[in-house]
Amino acid sequence: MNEKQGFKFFAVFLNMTWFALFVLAPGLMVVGISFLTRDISTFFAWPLTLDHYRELVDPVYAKVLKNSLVYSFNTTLLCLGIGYPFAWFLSRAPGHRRPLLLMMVIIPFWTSSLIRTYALVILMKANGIINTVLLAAGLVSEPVSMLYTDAAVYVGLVYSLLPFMILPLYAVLEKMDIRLMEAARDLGAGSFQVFIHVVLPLSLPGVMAGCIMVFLPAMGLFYIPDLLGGAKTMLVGNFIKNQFLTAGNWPFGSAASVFLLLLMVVMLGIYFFISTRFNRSQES
Amino acid sequence: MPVVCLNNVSKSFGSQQVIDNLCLDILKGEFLTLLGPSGCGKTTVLRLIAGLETCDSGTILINGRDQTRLPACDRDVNTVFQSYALFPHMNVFDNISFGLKLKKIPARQIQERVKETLALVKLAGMDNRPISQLSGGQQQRVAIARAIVNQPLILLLDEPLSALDYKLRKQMRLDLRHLHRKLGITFVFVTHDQEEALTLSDRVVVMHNGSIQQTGTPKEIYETPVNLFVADFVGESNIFDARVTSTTGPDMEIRIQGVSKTVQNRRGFKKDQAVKVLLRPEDMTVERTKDQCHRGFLPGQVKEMIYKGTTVDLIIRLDNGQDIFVTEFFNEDDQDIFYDVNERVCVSWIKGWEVTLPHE
Amino acid sequence: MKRWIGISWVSTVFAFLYGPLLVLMVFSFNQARYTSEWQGFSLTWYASLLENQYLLDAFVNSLTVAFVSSLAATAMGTLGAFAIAWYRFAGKKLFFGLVYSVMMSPDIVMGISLLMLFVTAGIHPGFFTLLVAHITFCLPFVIVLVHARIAGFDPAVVDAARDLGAREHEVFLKIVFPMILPAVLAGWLLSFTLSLDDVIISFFVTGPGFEILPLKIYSMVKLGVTPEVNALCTILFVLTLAAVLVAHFLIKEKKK
Repeated sequence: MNEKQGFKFFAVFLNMTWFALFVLAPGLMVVGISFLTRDISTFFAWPLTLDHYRELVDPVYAKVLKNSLVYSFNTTLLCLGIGYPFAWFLSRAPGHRRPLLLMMVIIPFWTSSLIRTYALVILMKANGIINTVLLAAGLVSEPVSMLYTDAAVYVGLVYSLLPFMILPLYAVLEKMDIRLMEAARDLGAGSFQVFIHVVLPLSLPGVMAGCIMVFLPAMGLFYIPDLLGGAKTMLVGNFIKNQFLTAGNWPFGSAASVFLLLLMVVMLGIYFFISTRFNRSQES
Repeated sequence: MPVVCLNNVSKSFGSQQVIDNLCLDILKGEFLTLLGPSGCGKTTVLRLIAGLETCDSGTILINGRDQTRLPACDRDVNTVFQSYALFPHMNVFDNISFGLKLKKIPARQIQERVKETLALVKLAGMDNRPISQLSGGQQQRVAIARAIVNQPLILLLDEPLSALDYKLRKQMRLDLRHLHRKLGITFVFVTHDQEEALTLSDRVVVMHNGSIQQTGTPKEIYETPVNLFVADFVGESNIFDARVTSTTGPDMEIRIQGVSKTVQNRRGFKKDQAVKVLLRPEDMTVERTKDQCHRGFLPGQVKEMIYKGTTVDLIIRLDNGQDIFVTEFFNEDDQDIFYDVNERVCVSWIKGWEVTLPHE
Repeated sequence: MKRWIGISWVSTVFAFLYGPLLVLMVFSFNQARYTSEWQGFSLTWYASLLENQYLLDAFVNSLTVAFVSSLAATAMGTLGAFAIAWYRFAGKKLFFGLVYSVMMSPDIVMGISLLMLFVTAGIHPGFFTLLVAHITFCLPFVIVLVHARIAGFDPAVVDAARDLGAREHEVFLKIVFPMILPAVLAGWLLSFTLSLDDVIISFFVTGPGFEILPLKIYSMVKLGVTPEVNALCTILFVLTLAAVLVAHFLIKEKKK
């Protein structure tokens, strides 16, 4: 009995302490400091203020937030547009091929996004592979500038985040009962109607999960615009990084981080709302 | 001397009292079944005997020694779990030899005993099969083999047949009886299936809400239930409200739905006492009628007739609105047991086949 | 017809996902320094990598952090998974919530929050701070993986082992540990790759005295592309790939 209780205390205490110290405490610090005043030497000081939040909605900075949201939104749409059919075809592939195909999605999912971004740089730079091929084929007379454009940032974001969209979509689509579609067809629905009324609603939790897993990181991946987009494209991630490492304005950077956290809470809230409603309707 | 004595054992989980001051003696070599609905505490009793739970108060004697506080690993008792609980990362041989290896029995002897036991449960030659490649019935046999290979004093079986399909369940019942006779050790069997309890056991313990309702042979339990719960839980019963109108020696007159009927008075009921009269469906007799019923017969109307091959089941609505269930057997003399729906009938029984209990 | 649409869609996406990586790997063997033309197979850049003491140091640092942090995260996460699966304790819901929020929260928020914690606490950034940060972001993955495994097996198995005569430590060594081992190993390997590949969080919590490979690559790439980075990335990719394949195999195993 003592052996067991000791183990329990150790297991619970160790983990709780770690999470309290290195997740909860720093998280609360972010929120707390966002309400404090900037200080050159100690980074933050009294008094409490809402200035940083006011500044965030100031047109200069609101534009950064808006830009970043637009980038995230478009990236999410692109990933969904590419990933949904992909996940669908994958889930309908012959059973014996599916494990290999799935494995091929998981590999980029777990490999370094930095390395993958760098691979894009090699392809897209002025004397990169794409330009070399285009020039050799005589399709263009001088190198096309691809790097340091908006398009390059989108390519980079989609390239990095696409697997995060595909995996949750695949998980729901693969489980979907083919008989439901047959039933809908039997009742007179055309392909499009089957999709709208059966497939899409049933895959909604996967769509939502995928969107969260693309949208949120897309706000923070500061090295993608750094490497592919030049200085003019800025994500919230770049902004936060600059506040902390260049401007030394902790409270302002914290306020922007709180914005990201709020975004996360809202999206997770929507996700749980959808998935619990979904589960309930499936049970009844 | 009983092989297990549970004396005034109580156990609660949190605020919920699961076992309430329970006393039970289990005899050496018997096949005892704990029968009751889910949540009645029967599995907890089993786990207390196994040592997987410790009781809050009371004592547990195994083979005459107080083992109330002895952990499971030191008790000479083995369990067949409801989910089988086979070790998924081991093959059949490793599962069965697990207990023997822990006891540091020489490898040769282990080989022999596992082989013998596998033959006993009809799995000879399956030693190297992984668990995942066994059917449900085979897993069940491995679970039994893993327990009996240790030659325990008592074998505990926690609803071992509940996951099997009907046919396999019937086969396993026979196999279990056979095994019990062959091994000669005490079996304690837990089930909520009354048919299983009646067909398998030497003695049945009916439990409800953490306490024992009745202990007896299957015949005693079925034919003379001591209370309404037992009567209702074991087998089908028709239950009638009645009142004693007079008592005469071993018999008494009761008034039941406006009809007078003579029944046996086994429990010393007094005049004017309210009673419940219980009757098994197969103990009731049905007569066709055009008009009045004879004395002691209750009038009614056939609502449903269900042909079952060897029997015909009738649902009869008595004139007071109560629905009763009657089973008629085919026999040589009376081929005519088919009734029309809505046909008027009279229902009664032979004196002494009823069970009369005080009104609760 | 429909089938061909499917096949071409899937192939195109796979080409998009793998094409750049393949090009990167192929060109790490290219002789040429500045052009993208193929000038013959060579191991020049791998050789020059071996002479670049800065990179080698960073690589060793990265491996050290990845190894230690993944081990620590695995040990602690396994305990955490047991805590969630087997015990009731105050704050369990909060604990569970924190586990999931760490997995979902943007890396950058975690990076700056740990930065503020360390600076405020007066801890100099370096090996120790990196270690703490990496353990923290690997921990939830281990907990979730191992917990799924523990929750997936029949708890009666533990009772069965006790019933057959096993003492507490024997139950753990002979039953519980072998059963969760694949998930623990998978958790360890995934932690290792997560730690080895992390850029954003490390960016904020490391100090000038302790350089790690992804950040080194990041600064090199910002300065311009060099073939040495190709070689380095290829090595790192192959390393991650191997770990992912093994981990995937282990997770698959449990489903059987």
